[in-house]
Order: sequence, then structure tokens, then C-alpha cells
Amino acid sequence: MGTIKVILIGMVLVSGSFAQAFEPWWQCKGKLGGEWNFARSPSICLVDHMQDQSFVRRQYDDIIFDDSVIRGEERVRYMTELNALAADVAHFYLQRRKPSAGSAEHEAFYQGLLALMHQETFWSHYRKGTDDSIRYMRGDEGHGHGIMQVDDRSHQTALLQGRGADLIYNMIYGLDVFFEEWERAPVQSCVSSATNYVSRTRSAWSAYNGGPGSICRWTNPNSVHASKDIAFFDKFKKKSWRNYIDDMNHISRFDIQCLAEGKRPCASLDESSPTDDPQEGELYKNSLGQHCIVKDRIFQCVNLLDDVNCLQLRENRIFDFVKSLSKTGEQKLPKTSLDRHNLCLNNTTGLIPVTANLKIHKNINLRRTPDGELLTTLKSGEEFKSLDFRVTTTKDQKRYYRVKSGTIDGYLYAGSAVDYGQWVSEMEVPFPDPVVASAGSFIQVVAPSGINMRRTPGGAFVSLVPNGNVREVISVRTSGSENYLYYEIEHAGRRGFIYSGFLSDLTSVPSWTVPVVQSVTWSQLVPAVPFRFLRQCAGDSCAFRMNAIRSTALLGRVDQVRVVDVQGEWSLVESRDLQKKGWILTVELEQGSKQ
Amino acid sequence: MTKTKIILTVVGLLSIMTWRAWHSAPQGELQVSVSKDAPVRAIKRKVTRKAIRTAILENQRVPAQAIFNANSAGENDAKGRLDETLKCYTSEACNFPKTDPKSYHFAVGQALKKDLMQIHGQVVREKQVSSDIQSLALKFLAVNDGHVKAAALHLLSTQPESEESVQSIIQNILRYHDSALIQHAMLELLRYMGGPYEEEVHRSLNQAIRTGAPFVSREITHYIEPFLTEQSLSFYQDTLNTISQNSVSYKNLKNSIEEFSRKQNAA
Repeated sequence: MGTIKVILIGMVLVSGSFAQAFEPWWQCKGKLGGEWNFARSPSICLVDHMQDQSFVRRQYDDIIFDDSVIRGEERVRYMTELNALAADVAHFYLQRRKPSAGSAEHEAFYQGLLALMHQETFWSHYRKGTDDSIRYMRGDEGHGHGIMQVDDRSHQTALLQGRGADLIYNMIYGLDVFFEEWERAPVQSCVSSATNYVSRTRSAWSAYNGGPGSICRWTNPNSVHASKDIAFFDKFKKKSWRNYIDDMNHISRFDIQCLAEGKRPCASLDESSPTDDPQEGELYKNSLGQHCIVKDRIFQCVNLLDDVNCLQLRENRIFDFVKSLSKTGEQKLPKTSLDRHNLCLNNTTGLIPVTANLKIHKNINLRRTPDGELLTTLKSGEEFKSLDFRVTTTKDQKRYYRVKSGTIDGYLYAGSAVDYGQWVSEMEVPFPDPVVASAGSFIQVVAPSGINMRRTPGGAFVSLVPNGNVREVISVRTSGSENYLYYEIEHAGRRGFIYSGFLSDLTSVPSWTVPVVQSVTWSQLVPAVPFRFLRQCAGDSCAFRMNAIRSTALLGRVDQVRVVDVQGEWSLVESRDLQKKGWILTVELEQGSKQ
Repeated sequence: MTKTKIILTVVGLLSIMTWRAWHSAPQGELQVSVSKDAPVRAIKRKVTRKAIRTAILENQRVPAQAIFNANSAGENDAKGRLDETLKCYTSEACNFPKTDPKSYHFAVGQALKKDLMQIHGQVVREKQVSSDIQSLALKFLAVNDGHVKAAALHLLSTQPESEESVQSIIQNILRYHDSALIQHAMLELLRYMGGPYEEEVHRSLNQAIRTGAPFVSREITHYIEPFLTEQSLSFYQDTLNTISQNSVSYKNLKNSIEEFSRKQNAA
């Protein structure tokens, strides 16, 4: 027994390098089993690494299987809801990818999705255990994620971006693969025609399961995976999921277009038909996806769903429903867009403005989005610049701030109306930031044609501040849903505001202005190399990072970098905005400006 | 008792190491690369690299065909292995693990990626330019495995622009579902701005935004700004008017168009 243990330790050590990236049950905590029946397949893992528990509850409450409810009843409720949602997802997807598809193809594609969900996971995705924690489906030795079993060996980047745990992302991503094979199937020898939907479905699933080379696997009884193809076809024919659905015409309340097109959060839809007659004091959603309250016979609108919380705080009420507007209803009243900064700062207790400096007072998780993947844990006492805020609930005013920690950009939770001071506080003394300057520091205009200075942000023209000009920042302002950045400066004896990009995409700012950093020699790629991805370490065998630096050979911004280390023929470089850091062959760099 | 444990551990470790080496390569390859080729490869590298370094120091483009054919055995080994490994996809007869339906194809892809990256390292260092390298990159760009496509893109980036390359990027990356490849593909496509294929690039990007895989569409709009020019702007404005306003792609594209206009007018 002792000997076996020693050998096993050896195995772990030897396989370490491979396991790091593709180990079974990667990021699986709190694993629980289940049963081979609809909605409760083994095994499930806590969603926490990929998604925030509270977000899943808010966004997907109707589609979480609850282990504490009587099993049979809960299964019927869950299956009825999931069937309605799957129908919407399948039709949305096919319409988007193939607008020419007819109703027969739509129906076949939808049935294919239902059979796929059955074969892969028995329609299992989110499940709330008796411990009240939300978990999501894993399988195939933990490599398969979610209802569509997206495999982490092939799609690890996608999974890190939420396509494993988030139900709709998972379904859409799975359909990306299924649709590709669905479209390839008609030209295969095993499919007689594009309208032979049975063969097409079987081919698409074989390839989905075994890779593109397996598209006709279902016709080969000697394949080692023949039993899987037979099982899939059996499920496809029997459609046993129907036994658990009590209303085949049930309508899903999920806004599939919003969820599938990448917005988070998305409101649940009111089941009533769009109105032509908007009423005072009610909340509506318009065709732009904005949420608007009717006040004094004017639509007052916000762009982000989270900002509805600020609107509700201002109105001191919570809207039970968001109603939809018809085109006629939308045109009936004038519309104004509310500035989220004024709205939220004036109505949320202790909310800190964008571009302010924050200090955190606890160790806090940093997530890609307020609801999303866990990136790192920030340490108590660390300081950051706020790049965005989100107020995610009305009643207790829970809030998040977006910050950048090194090259990691994400959201941290910062408490509620009663305890926000224990989480984060605003610093009065600013610290140097590589992208956004503070009042009292200096910026240089780098936009090639200069930047117009205006009396107010976006207001009347005052004068042009030319490229290369260095100015002191008097104050910093942000406005709009994209957090447009404006610096107040003095130029040619007059005071005004210059635009400097938007903080919702940090890469836009350095193409307008850069904070001035003294005594740094900048380098750039030689023009013979259009772009180069940076590596994680110094050597040919080192993996590439996800960021590339660009030379003058390409249109757009040239990346200036600072060499921070040298090892042999390799240099470790860091971009001016600190967004990119990694190794590159020194011979591919040339010295640029000194500042 | 302790001695037995140590012996068993060593035997266990050796078995596992042999098993892993065997399973990470096509069947029959292991003996050749370890026992026969290694000394020969070292000698060849020593001679050819010196000549190539001299050429690089003199700032010359290295005569591609000569290097590609005559250079390191390591690279040629990798090239030979690629063809053999590629056949493994269809034959399913190579000795890669079949622990679950996807494990075999995944392992084939990893082996291909490894060899492509080995060639890439050599090509970058020695500034090789050759139609053979381009063909090799294009061949593997067509393989339906994101890892293989990523490595093939790196290799393709070392070569000059060509019609075949731009068509292949459009067909095999923009029309594929893996959004992790899009940033790289778009950097590559930027090289075609101002050339004869620019319009084709814009048309394909617009098509992918409208009807491509949703995650791909989103990623394209995230990196679209450098593609906006006075000439191309109307293409993208048309697309903006056709896609759902309730989407991240719409938001990204709208932001980029507005930012482009601001830059044209100094904000």
C-alpha cells in the first residue's frame, strides 16, 4: 500500500507540466454527484470560479434546478422552462447565422439541440444543492463544462471567458461547433441531401462528439464509439424529454437576444405584448435596449440595466416589471438620456466616482465582470484608480468598481449602502497611473491631429491643442455610459476641456493623451516586423501571451515599450500603458523617443 | 522494505516517462528521433546556423529555399512529422490516448502545434521567407483545431502578404468559431490595408460581424477601429444599421465609428 502511494506521488510530479493546463476536474470545487436522469446528471462543481453566485441567482433563477424541492415536481418545472429557453436559443442562433433557413430547418435544428442536450448531459446545467450553493454541470473526467459539455482541453480560453458556466454562453458556444458541422454535413458521403435532417443531425453530433474527422462515424458500426452514436440516435427518436414537459408552448421570460449577444445582466421580459401607450411613472425597454421611465411625459433613459438601480433609487420605488414598447409607443413621447454619473452618484450612498483613487480594506476577489470569472484576489491596503462603477441592487445598493491590477483588468465587490466603508474608501492623494492622469499631473497630447479644447466637455470650441503639447491637468471629468474621459486644462491663456478616449475600453485613451513619465527611453518594433505577440518567458518554447505589440508597418497606434529586463537574446518589455508585458527577441526592437 | 520502495518508484517513474513520450508522438517515431537522428542533427545545426547568423548580421534576407531545405535537421524533422501526424486525424490509428472521444483528436492537435511552433522559432530567428513555409502555414490553418490554427497563424505572420494567405484567413479564421484567434487574425489582415485585397478584407469582416459566430462577431468589433478609413466607413455604418442594437457587437462597432469620427475632427 505504501509503495503504491510513493509511485502515485511520482506520477503526479512527472505529469505536472501537462496537468497544469489541462488537468481533469480543472477548477472544480465542492464537487457533488447526481443521478442519470434529467436535470441531475453527475457531476457538478461550484460556479464560483467562473461566475458570481448572486449573479446566477439574479439572472438565471428560473432555470436553476433546486435539490431541496420535491424531485418530480421540480423536474417538470425545470424541463418546461428549459425547453422554452432551448427553442428560443435554437431559433435565435439559426436566424443569426443563416437568415435564409426555412421553418423545416429551424425545427430540425431545434430538435437536434434537444437531443444533443440529452446525450451530453441529460439537460443538466445549474443546480442548487441542499447547502444552497449553485453548481454547474461537469463531465468527461471534468473536461466537459456545462449543458453542452464544452471541453476545456480545446476551449480553455473560451471557458475562462465564461462559456463554461454561463448557461446561454455555454449553449451558444456549443451551437457554434454544432452549426459548423451541421453546415458541413450535406456535402458528406453519409448525408444524401441537405433536407435529410435525420442524417444531418446524426453527422453533426458525431463530429461534435468526436471532432471534425468523425462526421460520418455514425455509419461505421465498428467504430470504438459506435455505441455513443447509437445512443444518440435512440434519444433523438424517442424524445423522452417530452415526458417531463407539461406545457410545450410555454414562453420563456429570458431575453435571449440580449443574453446571447453578450450583454450582462439582461432583464426578464414581461409576457404582455408591446404597448402603444406608455404610462406616466412606468418603466419600459425600447428598441435600443435602453430602459426608460416616463416622467413628466418624457422618456428618461439609461443605457445599462444596472443603472436602472440608480433610477429606482431616485424614484424611491422598485419596478416589478419592465414593459416593452411598440414602435408607435416609442415615438409617442420625447426622449432624454440620463448621465449615469450624475444619476448614480447623486442617489447611491457613498458611491465613489470614476477616475477617483481607491484603497481597499479587505482582501477582495477581482472578477472579469461583476458576475464573471475570478481573476485574482487583491490584497487589503492596495490602491487603484476607479475605471467604472456598477450598482447591482437597489435595496441594499451593492456596488462594484472596475480597477486594473498590473495587466489584470476587472471588477471588485465594494460592499453595500451600510458597509461600503469597510470595503473601499476614496484616497485624497492621487498616485501616478499609466493611463489616466490625476489633477495636478501632466499629460501629453499624442493624437496626430491634436485635440480640440472646448468650453465644457463636448461643448463650444475654444482652440486646438496640437500634437506633442504637454499640459497640466486641472481636473478630470467622466460622462456617458462609456465613461468618456475629459481633462480640464489651460492652453493659450484659456481654460477648457479636451476629450481623451473612453474608459470602457482602456486602449482608446493612449491614442489621445498619455501621462508624462520622466526619464524613460522608449523602444518599438522594427518596421520590418508588422507585429509580434509577446512571450511568457525568454525562449522559443515559451508560450505566447494574448497581446501583441505593433510597429509602424500597420495602420493605427504604434506600441512604445520600455525594456525592463534582458536575458541573452531576449528582452522583457512593458508597454507604455502597462497593458502589455512579455518577452521578445531584442533584435526586433529599435530605440525610439526619450522622455 | 525501503530499498524495494525506491526501486519500485524509479521503475514507476521511468515507465511513466516512457509512456508520456510515446503518447505525445505518432507511433514509431520515438526510436528514430532518440537513437538515430540526434547526433547528426547537432552537427548540421552547428554549420548552417553560423552561415545564417553571418547573413543576418550583414542585414540580408536569408535565401529562403536554401535554408528551408538545408537547415537544421530539427526543423526538417518537425516538418516531416507534421505530415505524418496530420494523417492521424483520419486514420485514427496513431498511438494517441483514446480515454474519451475527444482525447485522441486533442492530442493530435497538440502534437501538430508543438512542431509548428518549433518551425516558427527557427523561421523567426533566421528570417526565412519561402513559399514552402507559407504553404505549410496555410495547410495547417485549414485544420479544424483552434490550437493548430493559432500556431499556423504565428507561422504565417512571418511571411509576406499574399492572396492565398488573405483568403485562407477569411475562410479558416473569420468563418470559424474560435474567437481566441480573432485578435491575431485581425493584426494579420491589417497588413492588407491599402493593397489590392483591402476591399475583400472589409467585405469579409462585415459579413462575419453580421452572420459569423456570435463570439467571433463580438471580438471582430472589439478590434475594428484600425480598419476604419474614410473609404471603408460606409461599409461599417451599413453593418451597424443591420445588426441588433441589443448586442455587444453593436456597442463596440458604434464606439469605434464614433471614435474614428472624433479623431477625424480632433474631437
